[in-house]
Amino acid sequence: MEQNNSMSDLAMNMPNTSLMFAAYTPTFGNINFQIIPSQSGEVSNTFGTISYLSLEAILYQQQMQAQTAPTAVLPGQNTGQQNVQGSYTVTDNAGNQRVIMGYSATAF
Amino acid sequence: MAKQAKNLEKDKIHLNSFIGGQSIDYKYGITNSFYDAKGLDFRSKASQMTVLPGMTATASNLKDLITAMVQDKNGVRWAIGNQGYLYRIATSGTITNVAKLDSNGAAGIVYNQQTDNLYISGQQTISTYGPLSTGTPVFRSGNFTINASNSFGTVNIYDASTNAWDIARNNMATVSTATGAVNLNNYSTLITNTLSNNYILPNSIIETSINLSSFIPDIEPFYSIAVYITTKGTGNMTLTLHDSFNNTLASSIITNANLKTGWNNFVFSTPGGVRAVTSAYQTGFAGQGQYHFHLTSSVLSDSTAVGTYASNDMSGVNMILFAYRMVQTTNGWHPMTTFTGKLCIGNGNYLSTYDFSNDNNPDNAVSGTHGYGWDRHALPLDFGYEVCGLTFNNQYLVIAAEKRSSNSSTNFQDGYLYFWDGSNSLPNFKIEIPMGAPYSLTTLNNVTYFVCGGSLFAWGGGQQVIKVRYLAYQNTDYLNTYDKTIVNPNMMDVRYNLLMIGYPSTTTNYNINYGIYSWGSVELTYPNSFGYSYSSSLAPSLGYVNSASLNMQFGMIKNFVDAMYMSWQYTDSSSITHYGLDIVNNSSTPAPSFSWTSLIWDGGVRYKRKKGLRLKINFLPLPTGCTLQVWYSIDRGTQITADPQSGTVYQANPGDISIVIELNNARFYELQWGFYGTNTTATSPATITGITAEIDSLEDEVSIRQDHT
Repeated sequence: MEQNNSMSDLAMNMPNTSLMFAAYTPTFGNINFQIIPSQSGEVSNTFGTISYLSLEAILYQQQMQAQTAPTAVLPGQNTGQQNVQGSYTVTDNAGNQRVIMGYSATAF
Repeated sequence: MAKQAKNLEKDKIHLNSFIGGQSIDYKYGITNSFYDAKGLDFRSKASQMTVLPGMTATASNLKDLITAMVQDKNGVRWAIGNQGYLYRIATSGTITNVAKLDSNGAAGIVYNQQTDNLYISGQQTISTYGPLSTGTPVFRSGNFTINASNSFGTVNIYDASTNAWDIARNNMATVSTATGAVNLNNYSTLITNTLSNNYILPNSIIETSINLSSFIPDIEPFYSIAVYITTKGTGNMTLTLHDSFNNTLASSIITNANLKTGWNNFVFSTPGGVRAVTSAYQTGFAGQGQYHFHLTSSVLSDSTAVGTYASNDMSGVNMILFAYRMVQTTNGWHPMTTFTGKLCIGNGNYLSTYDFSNDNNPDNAVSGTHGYGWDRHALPLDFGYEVCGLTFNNQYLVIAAEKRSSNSSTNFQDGYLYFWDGSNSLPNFKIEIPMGAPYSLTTLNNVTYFVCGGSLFAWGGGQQVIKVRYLAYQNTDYLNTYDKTIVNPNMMDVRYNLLMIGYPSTTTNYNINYGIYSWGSVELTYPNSFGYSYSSSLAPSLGYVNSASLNMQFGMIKNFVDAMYMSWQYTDSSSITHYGLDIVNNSSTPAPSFSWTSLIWDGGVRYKRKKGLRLKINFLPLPTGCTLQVWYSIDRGTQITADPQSGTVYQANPGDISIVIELNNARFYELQWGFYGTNTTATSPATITGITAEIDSLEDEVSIRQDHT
């Protein structure tokens, strides 16, 4: 087997291609882990290699479930609070109010 | 017919790139990786390795171990040591000791360009030094230190009619607003006694409401409680601090000879002060808080009396609570940085903030409201945790906290990362680090890295932290020693876009190599890789690992563009401890020693015998003053560095562009090879361009049979 011809080389040398090989989760680890060459019985002329796993690819994956501050906060905190004044209404095509959210002195 | 002699082409195990860096396993790594290297740059060019510049001692006679460093706007660098010595590193490189803190240093130094001052953390105080650019800088030792509580829970007493703490004991609130912090120097003149009643001291503690005074602390640790004596009797006077179970937390005695009419300050002898829970009280519980104190006289029917709000009722005694500015931490650290315009100080299980509003005498901000002034407890963390690192990630200040045992051999394995936006009264969120203390927090490319349990971890905004890889096998299995490896807060930095990891600061695991490791890549298409890049100037004489008697410690690393510093200490055979500072910069010469070790090669067939024929290493003409010695090892045995028959050392000489060594009758199952190099007078680095082993796979021999030794 020639050097620089393995899947890990491709992953390493092609931008973004490494993402294809990054099947990593903190729960299951690196699903694609394998050692190349496999133990086929043939004497290989390379060192044993492991597919490259890009840290950036994992971090990119993680951004789909990014850590964010909670929106429900205690009094005195001012992150994530939303103070809505008045009321939200939903009207139909004829302009009649069908849904109202919040306080209304006349409707209820 | 007899067979003809002929040369068959043999297998070549060839590496002409080393970009994969250092592997964890002996045999397996990513492509173009190797097992170990020291002092080699294998990243800058994928097709070669060159020798990195070496660190040299720019000072070896410092007074202590530097743990933090900053640079001012004039290019002068300032460093603080672990025993409190402040150093000035002139633009010429000359290092001078300019001051000493009132306590050990705490790995925190910040330069505020607006005030042109340094802010330096000690164990329980913050000192300042400046202005640095105009006139002669003034060192203000312990500038921010013990001061008085000015909150309603201490300056007022409970009012049953309003169910609030709204009756003033004294004029503290007014004075505090008008003059700033009330401290040990000014309280006796600023705070008066306008109370017209007295409480005569009993001879023993009586747990009734008129014989104690409750208070709600807003600051801690308690340094002292001062009370106002209106009549001095004949006995000694004792102040006893109780919790709500009437357990004695601390007590303080002033002998009669030292008592005086007026203010008397009862200082607690508890080291670091009395730890307490701030804002501890129960609403509507008739003014009973978590804490109260008693005043007693050693003499029965003594006439000693203190000023009180109501006659013969101690609950309204005229008192002042003094607290330390900082918590005395077990880890000894108060890392500092600036964030959202404030000085942020790791303060044990709190983050303290200061808005630079009054360097002369900052008063307490109302805790939790992030008002003006000094907020000891701006952000409460979990009890028992101590801040061990600060960095930033997006809009958050990231706070690393550890639990540190006072016992040298039974350690905690707990840590947290807290994330704070600078205004919330609690951390916005936190991530538990059950693997251990998250040391040396640093952010590169908005990815926050830390060292924990001998491994490098990264957090890039997700739910989990990612373990990147081992730095060293910190596990002490079979070593018959406990692991106490500590990495100081400022042991990571960025150099040439790579993460530099100084590791460790100190360890009881004597297998761990001290040095500066690197992580990253120099180009998008290259893999992130890891390697041991820089050793200290101590390595040639003392080696890379620690011992009990050597007590080698690395204090911090700091990089300024092309100049990187690393501080160290060690103890010599005469039990003298030496402190120094290394530097690598644009005038450094190649590292005095370098090395490279291949992965172990077994051809994927560990069970089969093979035969090594020869090794060849290619390089650009070896510079004068550089040596390179090749070795190989059969079946994990001794490194063979010379021809077994002739004794000729496998060494290349200056000017050579390759070296070939013959492996005589080298039948093996596993083969490993590498080289050591030295630089004595070399001024340019050696460059290695290829490493090749020629192997006979012995394909005609039987594969499966008993291993031969």
